[in-house]
Amino acid sequence: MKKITAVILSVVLAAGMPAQVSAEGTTITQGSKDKSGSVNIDYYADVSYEVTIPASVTFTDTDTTIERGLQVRNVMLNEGTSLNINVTSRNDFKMIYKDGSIDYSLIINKHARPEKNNFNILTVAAGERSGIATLDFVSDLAKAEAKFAGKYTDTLTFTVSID
Amino acid sequence: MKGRKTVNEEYETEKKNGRKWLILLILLVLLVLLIVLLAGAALGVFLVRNEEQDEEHPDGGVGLVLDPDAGEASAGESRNAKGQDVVISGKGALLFPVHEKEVSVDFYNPKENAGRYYLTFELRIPDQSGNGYEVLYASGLVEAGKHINRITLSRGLEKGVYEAVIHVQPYCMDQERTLTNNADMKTVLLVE
Repeated sequence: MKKITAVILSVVLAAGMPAQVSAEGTTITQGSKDKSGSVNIDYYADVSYEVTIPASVTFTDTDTTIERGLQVRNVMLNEGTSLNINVTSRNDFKMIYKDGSIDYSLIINKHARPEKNNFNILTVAAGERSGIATLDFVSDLAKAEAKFAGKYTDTLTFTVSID
Repeated sequence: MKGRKTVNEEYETEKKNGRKWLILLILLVLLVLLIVLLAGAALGVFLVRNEEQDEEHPDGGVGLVLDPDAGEASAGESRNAKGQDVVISGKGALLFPVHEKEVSVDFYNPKENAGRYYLTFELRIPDQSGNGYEVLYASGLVEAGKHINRITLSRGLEKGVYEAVIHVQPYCMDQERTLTNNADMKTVLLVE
């Protein structure tokens, strides 16, 4: 009997308590005229991107045309801007060792051949999340003017800018 | 005394038999000597040849089997595989307080480079001549999956907007720490 009385009392008290919902500092009570509240939910998407570049390219006597890729992903840009990637060769597209040098070419997306340094190879506009460019490295080693045995090298710098 | 051998005849017969055995014995001895000589010669030739071979290949070729790893040349393929790519992560503008040397950044080596590349970061701004650049900060090697969030600049900066470059240099995780192709990320640096 005591238990039943306790349950009934609890229900009556709970029903009689003023309901409170707190949202962004707004208190809504049973007596409030406007019983709606608002909650701001936000996330600030920072400008960001991820670029994958060929770390190294190795020619051999049998491997004189090498296809590699340059990839951009997870791109997040401000509206109206674009992500641009240019390439610059330290030795003007020559592999150098001591006094000797070996020419090579870089062909972008199967057709464009940079004739100057700082050449654009990929543009990704705001709103696009990814982009890819094909890079073909070609060297006619048979015509190379290599004087000595040794490691002939060049270094490429990929410059990323948001314009 | 017909049908009976005389003592002389018996003596002659025994003498003849004795000679035969002697000749057979001598022939046998000669044969054995010949075999020994031939075997010696053969052993000599074998030892000389073996000695010559030992000088070139101390272990000879005995016990060798065809190497299952031998195949057509493919060294170039592995050196130009997709695994030879490096991932570089970029952010938007940098914001530094005026004249403050201790500043916050996020220089990150993506975890995709694990086991292959370390990265170093260099923060550059144009120098006063406008032709070169000044290095405000240079990191050491950063492992894949790790960030640098707090750095000390070489000097605090005046208020303004700077065209900064974050130069990212990957290094192979070999003993030589070979430098690879690299990236320059142009970044706006706001100092206020």
